[in-house]
Parts: sequence; C-alpha cells; structure tokens
Amino acid sequence: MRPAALTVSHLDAGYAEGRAAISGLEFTVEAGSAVAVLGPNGGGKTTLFRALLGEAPYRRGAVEIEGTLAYVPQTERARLDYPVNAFDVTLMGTYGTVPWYRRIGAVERAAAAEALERVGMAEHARASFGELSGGQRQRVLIARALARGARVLLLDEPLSGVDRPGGERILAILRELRDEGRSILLSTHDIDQARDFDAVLCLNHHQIAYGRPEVALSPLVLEQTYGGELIVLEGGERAIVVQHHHH
Amino acid sequence: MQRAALEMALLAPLAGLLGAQIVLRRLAFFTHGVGAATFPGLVAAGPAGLPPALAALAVGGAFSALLARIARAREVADDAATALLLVAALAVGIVLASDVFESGAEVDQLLFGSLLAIGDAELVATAAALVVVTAAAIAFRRSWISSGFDPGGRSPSLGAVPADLALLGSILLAVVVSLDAVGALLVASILVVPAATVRLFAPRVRTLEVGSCWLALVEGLGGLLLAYRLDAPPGAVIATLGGLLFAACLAVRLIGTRSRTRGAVSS
Repeated sequence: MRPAALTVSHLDAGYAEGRAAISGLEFTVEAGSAVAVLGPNGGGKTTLFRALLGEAPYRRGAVEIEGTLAYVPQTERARLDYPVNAFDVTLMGTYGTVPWYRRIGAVERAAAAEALERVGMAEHARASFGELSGGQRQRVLIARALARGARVLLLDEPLSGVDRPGGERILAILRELRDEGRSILLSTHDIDQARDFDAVLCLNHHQIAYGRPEVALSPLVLEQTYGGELIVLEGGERAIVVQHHHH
Repeated sequence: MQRAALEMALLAPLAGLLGAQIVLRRLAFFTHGVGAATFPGLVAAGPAGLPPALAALAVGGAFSALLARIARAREVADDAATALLLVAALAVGIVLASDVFESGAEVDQLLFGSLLAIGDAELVATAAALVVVTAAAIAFRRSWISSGFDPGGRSPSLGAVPADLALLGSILLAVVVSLDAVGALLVASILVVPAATVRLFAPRVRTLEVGSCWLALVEGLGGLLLAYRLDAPPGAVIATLGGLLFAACLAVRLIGTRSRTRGAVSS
C-alpha cells in the first residue's frame, strides 16, 4: 500500500442554514492516486475543497496533508481581461513560496517555465491568458499549481467548458502527474469519467461512499448521491446526471 | 508653482501603484465615493479646529467601513450603496457649508482643489503617504495581483484579508493626500483616469503601473501649465485633460480593433 497523501477523519465543515454543509467525511487518498469527487450541485464538493484548503471552518474532525496542496479553479472564475500572459499566471504559483521582502528570482522563473513545459504550454508562454482556448487556460492553471510545488492537486470541474480534444489532453496530463506520485482530487458530474479514476468519493452533504469505482459506483450509491437528478440508461449499465440549476 | 509641480510628482507614483489596482479590481467608483465622502469632514474640520487631512481620513474611513457593512448584508448592490452614501455625504457637506458653518466661499476649493496653494505641510503629508503606500505595495503586491486575477482563489499563505485591507487603506490614504491638489470631486482624475487610459493598451500589470505613473505626471504637469496659461483652476484642467486623452486613446483603440476584425473577416 502506498503512503497517504491526504487523510480526512470524521470531518464536518462549512456552514449552511445553521448546520455543517458537509459531514461525516472519512477517507484517505494515497500518494500517486486520482480520486473523482462526485455529487450534485450544492452537494458540498466546493465546501470540501475549501475545507481542505483551510478556507472553510471545521466543526469536527481533522485533515492531514503530506506536502503542498494547490487548488485549480475553473477557468471561468479567472478574470479573462486581466493583463497577464500564460507565464505570468504560472509564476503566480510561486508567489506564496517567496517571502514578501524577497523578489521573484531566477529560481521561481525556472520553476514556472518548467511547469509550463510540463503541461505542453511552453510555446504559448507569452500569449495573453484571456486569448487562450478553455483547455489551454486550464492547462496553464494546472501549471500554476505545479509551479507551487504541489503534491496534492484539487481540480474543480476542470473539463467544464472544454472541448473533447482539450479535455482528453488535460486528462492525459493528470494521469502523468499521478504516475509521477502526485495525488489528484477532481470534482466532476461525469459518472463515466469517474469510472477511470483510482477511487471515487460520492458526496451529497455527507459521504455516501468512497472506494474503487467498480465497488463504489453501485446503483444504490448513485441514487443516494444524485436522487432525482439521475437517469439510468442502457439496462442499468450507464447513468447520466441531469443538473437542475437553482437561480 | 514649483510646489504644485512637486505635489504632482509625488502623486504620480501613487497613481501608478494604486491606479493599476483600482482599475483592475474595479474599485474606480469606490475611489470616487471615498473622495466625495471626505467633503463633510473637510467642511467641518476648519470650524472644529481639526487638521483637514485627519478629518478627511476619519470620514473616508467611516464611509469605507459603512460600505463594507452594507455589502456584507447583501441587501443592496455594492454600486448602489456607494452611490447612496456618496450622495448623502455631498448633501451633508453642502448643508454644513451653507447653513451651519456658512463657509460657502471655500466650497469650490474643497470640491475642486487648490493646487497652486499647496504648502510644505501638504507636500510632507503626500511624501509620507507615498512611503506608506510603497511599503504596502512591496508587502502585498503579489497578493493584490493574484486575487485580482482569480477572485476567491487566493492562497491563504498570501494573507488575502490583510492584503485587501492594505489596498483599501492605501486608496483611502492616497485619496486624502490628493484632496489638496484636485479636491473631493476630482480625485479620480489622478487615481483612476491615467490608469484607465493606459489599461486600454497595457499587456502586463507592470506596464500598467509604470505607464499610469508617467501619464499621471504628464497630465498633472501639463494641466498645471495649461491652467497657468488659461488662468483656470488646475484641478479642473487636469481632469479635463485626462478625460480628453482617455477619449482619444479609446477612439484609437476602437479603430484598431475594428480594422483587425475587418481584416480577419476578409481573410
């Protein structure tokens, strides 16, 4: 068994209507493994990530992280009109690693260049971030996390708004990062995509299931996770989620 | 005249360091609001025997805190709350000036500045503010940039909350020391207009900061000279010059964008 990169014990976190937004979370992510986080909109995926980042308060429980943690947001959340290029964005990953009184130097620039190379974006280093495609922007945001030296990456629906070739490229990069020993937690609505991960965490305000996809993704677990938002297809072997957006 | 030019030279780096953040973080209306909100403080300072800068700082700080409180309640949109408080501050200032302290003759100076009457004390205050804001920028600039680019995605290690407070405090300080030059109603002509103009072309944050600093200096000194030649109030001339330059740059930018679009369609 590989060493643990992230251990979550008896975690209740966040606030929603006077109670914990997520509760009863208990799972361990091994180093060098990729976990898909499944759940409905408002089911607590973002709260879980915020709790892991220390931005949402814990009511109970503990989180242990081996190495640096980095969050990769959806590209829509970044300001596309901000005057930065791909290299500038990647370099932001090193900001937290350098004391305020020290200038960003050659070491940080080299780390940013290497991270961009790692995600296949070196040739676009000087391109304006806002003018890149959705998939390219997502790769730059992954490079930003790598430049930070992250061993655990939290990705918030990274394939949302990305075309299929772009999405496949991102998934290939994530597989490579996992094989290098990094741990990946990726929130998604795509149940089929989750089947390709090492483990799946099903979340709907509390933990429904955690384990290998072939075990965890049972019809009962999916129904408890998504309730009425789930449609089962093709004799029960495939399922899709119908998202109801609340405005 | 020399003091006025020196004052503009001291304000220009503030316009570079903070103007870039004000434009990128969409704080232009907040900055204008803080400037206008200082007006009742300035009116009351003289009769109350208080230093005007201190009174302006207190009223501007109260305006910012009240705005933050209203924003937290989420019952009123931020821009609507800013507009309400801005109008309230101006109305209170006018009532104080006309009916309470009967200082009507000074109202023009308080609203539009008196750059040619700048004294040593004002120059020292602006220089001190520049030192404080530069220190804040050295400490927090990276956090200002990363949270401006990715709102809500900030690294806790960068100290997001202290950085935001430092930015708002720096803007308040810069507004207060700009009052003598351009008055409560025209602080945006120094802290917003140059940066908004350079933003039309700047591809990087550093370019925006340096460009805004130089443009603020050029507009400040150019406006000062024009005001001297035309025998007009310098604050208003600087604001007009800034507005005209912005309009010209926007026109150039729009023409450039249209010709690029046409070229792309025809090819």
